[in-house]
Amino acid sequence: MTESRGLYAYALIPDKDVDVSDLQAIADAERVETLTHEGLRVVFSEVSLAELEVDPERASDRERIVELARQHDSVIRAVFGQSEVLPLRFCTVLSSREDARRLVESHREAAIARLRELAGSAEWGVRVVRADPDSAADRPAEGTPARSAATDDSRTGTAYLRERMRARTEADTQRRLADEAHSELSAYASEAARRDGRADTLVDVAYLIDKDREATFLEQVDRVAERLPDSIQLTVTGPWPPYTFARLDDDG
Amino acid sequence: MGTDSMLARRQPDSLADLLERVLDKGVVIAGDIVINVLDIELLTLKVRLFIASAQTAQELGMDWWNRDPFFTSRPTELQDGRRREIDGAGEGRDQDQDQLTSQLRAENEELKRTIEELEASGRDSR
Repeated sequence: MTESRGLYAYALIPDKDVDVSDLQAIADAERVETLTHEGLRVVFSEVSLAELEVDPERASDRERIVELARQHDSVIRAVFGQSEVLPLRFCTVLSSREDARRLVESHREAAIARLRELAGSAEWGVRVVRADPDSAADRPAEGTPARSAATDDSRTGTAYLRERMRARTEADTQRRLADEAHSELSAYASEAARRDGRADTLVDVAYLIDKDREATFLEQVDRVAERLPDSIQLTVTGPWPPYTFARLDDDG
Repeated sequence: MGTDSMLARRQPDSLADLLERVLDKGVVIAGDIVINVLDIELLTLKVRLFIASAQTAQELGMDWWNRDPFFTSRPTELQDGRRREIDGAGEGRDQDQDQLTSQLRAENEELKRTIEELEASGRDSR
């Protein structure tokens, strides 16, 4: 492998046959292939390194980044449709097949163990948000409302405090309901991981759900969501390959 | 009602959901067995900042720019929010706040245009 090319490694899978022959590969790569070594397979494509040299600081590269991310995901999804899969981080590039074998040798036991844990499951994302961010109740005091600015009127002050209390109570209720929703849904998951929340997110969780429990889980999502007040909203995405649950426990 | 409400609750996987997973998750292989093609941490940080700029999750689906705080009236709050995001990502920034804000504003403009175009082309190609 010359300096200018490498092996784009999408994922590790167990040593079982998967059909990758028709898959659209990443960037300029011609095909998706697998390399088998010591009970594991590396799913990869030979790629030009220049194709991956995107600079996130450069606005013109951002569309390219999104395109690469989509290509990466579509290969992983196609493989996920045929096998348990341990996705590697975006743009994991190895120098050579020799290095791919070295990769397997370094992480073999952890990868095999983790793949066993992920087998037969998919990731689902559940997010609970405030439906109307403008009614957001628990921001730190932003100062007095405009209408009571520059006034000592005790009635206005009382009204303000009452509103703050109402808002605080509503915020506490929303958080409690969101946490309860998560608590109920996690009973159906073999693993759960909180995700970094965006603004106005009450709860954002990834669940690892066994295929056998998927239908029940989704019914429960529906039941939980229906019980929520109109001021908060639950959305679910999935099934995903287990991105959020991809890890090697040997700290490799 | 059952299936209808489930379909209503199921969102098409948004681009933000995809990017958050593809760019920020998956096994990181350490060591020099891996060629360092791009600064994935920087890339992920940039994407987080973009995603954090939306006020609610659903805005990233279609029309978040209508509620983007850059175009509404709470600049102070926005800056506080952004500072929390940056600190949370573990990177201190010594830039002064105004410079950072206008830089982020410009980047958000770019990103929102990109997302719009890509969401549209994504729908067309389904």
